[in-house]
Amino acid sequence: MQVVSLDLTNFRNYQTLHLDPGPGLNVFVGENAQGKSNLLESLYILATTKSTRASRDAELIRQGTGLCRLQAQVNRTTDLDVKMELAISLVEKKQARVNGVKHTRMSEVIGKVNAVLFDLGDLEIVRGEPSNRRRFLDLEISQTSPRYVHALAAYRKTLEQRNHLLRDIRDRRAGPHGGETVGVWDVQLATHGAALMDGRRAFIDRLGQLASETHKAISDCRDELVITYQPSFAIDAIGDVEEIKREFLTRIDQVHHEERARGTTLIGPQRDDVQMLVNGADSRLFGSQGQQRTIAVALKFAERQLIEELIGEPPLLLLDDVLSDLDDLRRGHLFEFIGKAGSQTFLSCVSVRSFPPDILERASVWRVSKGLVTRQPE
Amino acid sequence: MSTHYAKPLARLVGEFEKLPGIGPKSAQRLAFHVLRIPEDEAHALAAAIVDVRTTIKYCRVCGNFTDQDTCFICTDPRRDQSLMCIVAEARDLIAMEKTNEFRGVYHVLQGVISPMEGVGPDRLRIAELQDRLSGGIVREVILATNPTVEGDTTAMYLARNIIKPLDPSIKITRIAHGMPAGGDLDYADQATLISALEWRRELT
Repeated sequence: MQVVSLDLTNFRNYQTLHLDPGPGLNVFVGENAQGKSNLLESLYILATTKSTRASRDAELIRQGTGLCRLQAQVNRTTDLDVKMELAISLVEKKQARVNGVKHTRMSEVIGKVNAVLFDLGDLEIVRGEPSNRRRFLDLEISQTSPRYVHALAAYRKTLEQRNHLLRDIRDRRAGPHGGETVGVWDVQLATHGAALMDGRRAFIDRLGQLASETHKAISDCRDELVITYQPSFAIDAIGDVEEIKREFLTRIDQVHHEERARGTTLIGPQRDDVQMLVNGADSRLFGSQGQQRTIAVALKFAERQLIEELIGEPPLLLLDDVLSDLDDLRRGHLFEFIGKAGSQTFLSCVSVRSFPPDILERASVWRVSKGLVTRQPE
Repeated sequence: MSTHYAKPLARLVGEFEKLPGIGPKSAQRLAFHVLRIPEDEAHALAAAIVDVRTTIKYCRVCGNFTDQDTCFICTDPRRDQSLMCIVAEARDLIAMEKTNEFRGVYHVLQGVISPMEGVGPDRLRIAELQDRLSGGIVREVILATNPTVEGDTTAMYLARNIIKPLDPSIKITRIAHGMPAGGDLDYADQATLISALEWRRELT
């Protein structure tokens, strides 16, 4: 999958931009706040229709204007080439055109272009609260499993209702028969919860293995990364989803009194975590900035690999500020890895001084300054 | 409240706005429409609203809307009293009736269990259901609440906690969910297809 041209109008700090990216590695160099991240973000939005950084679409529109356009010509090997256009307006619904055909339902256009983005927020997957890791799991698994999407929505609803009921019971507001219904909510919770746990376990098994291999390569075989699923109760010895459901019901029975006293649900996927051990030590607590960044990068490369297996061609790889905190050795291995992965890659950085000369020679280098992008050397 | 209207008009717009599915613009359109139609039509509309509220009540037996003490379904001797369909709302009953297929009787719960909205079993017509089922006449209960988290929970609660303990010999069934009749697989949403796969049955 290859972006052969990108056009932006009134997007973030770009009034107009036309770019013909190179086929392999594209490096965007510039000081902070010049528009490097915005450029990578635009490609991510063309793939997913959503930004990871903006809480509202309006933030994407250049100040003083009311409409921004993003457009990319993307050539694919396993599918028809795609001309992807997005129009985001202050007043109208977001609109997409795929090869000239209009869409207002964004779910119809997601997946025409595939991209994996690494940005600073991804560090939180490694070092942040467990909720960051759960969000990462939900987002990634949802992309390939409609069943998971369905179970996730049903689980959240059930959990919300059940917590409300437990609070009412604690505060003696549940009515004479209210308490009797908890058992029924338990069954719903266990049914949907077991589906989530089963999905998460399978995903982490696959992702963990791939991430571990990448991590080993980047860290020069010095560090062993082990990623394991840590559900709120152990399911190591449990086979299928029906058995998980039975175990879920047994466990929830054991916390019967405590749940009613505290007024909330005490077990289930909302309390899951993912443990990331480097050479046996918890990277969240003991990892250096560089180590944590290496893990986050390894996760993203693993994700890239999974998507490639799924769609049959390498997705775009967007690496925003991936190099800082990495030592020269790790940088060198990362460049090797980018080369081997075979994805068209967009990488932002402050300087190319530490780049290996052979990498720089083959890359397309662009200077980004105040919303202007120029090819280097000019 | 806007001051652009004369007071009685503002009051009417305000009342319309409280109706489901009606926003400020539609409310204004409806209010102006009422002013434009002949006066006797406007009076007829007002009378219909008053009339429906004074004459329509819940059926003593099933909880459906009726202007009698007992609704026309419950009093119909051709109806099969041994087969009962439980629905959440009276409008679900009407949807079922439109099929002209179901020849049993109904029980309207008037809601589903939803702690977030403060609805527990005590707010539903469950005591009335227990009364009806303890007569020994009903042999099968069809649980026809919506296939939502709340609808499923309500159905399961009725089956496990109410009907089974009362009379284990009553057959309890749940309406199927899955593909709509005459539906296209490639048009169905994923949740529907998943459900259709789960609820598949053997062809004989």
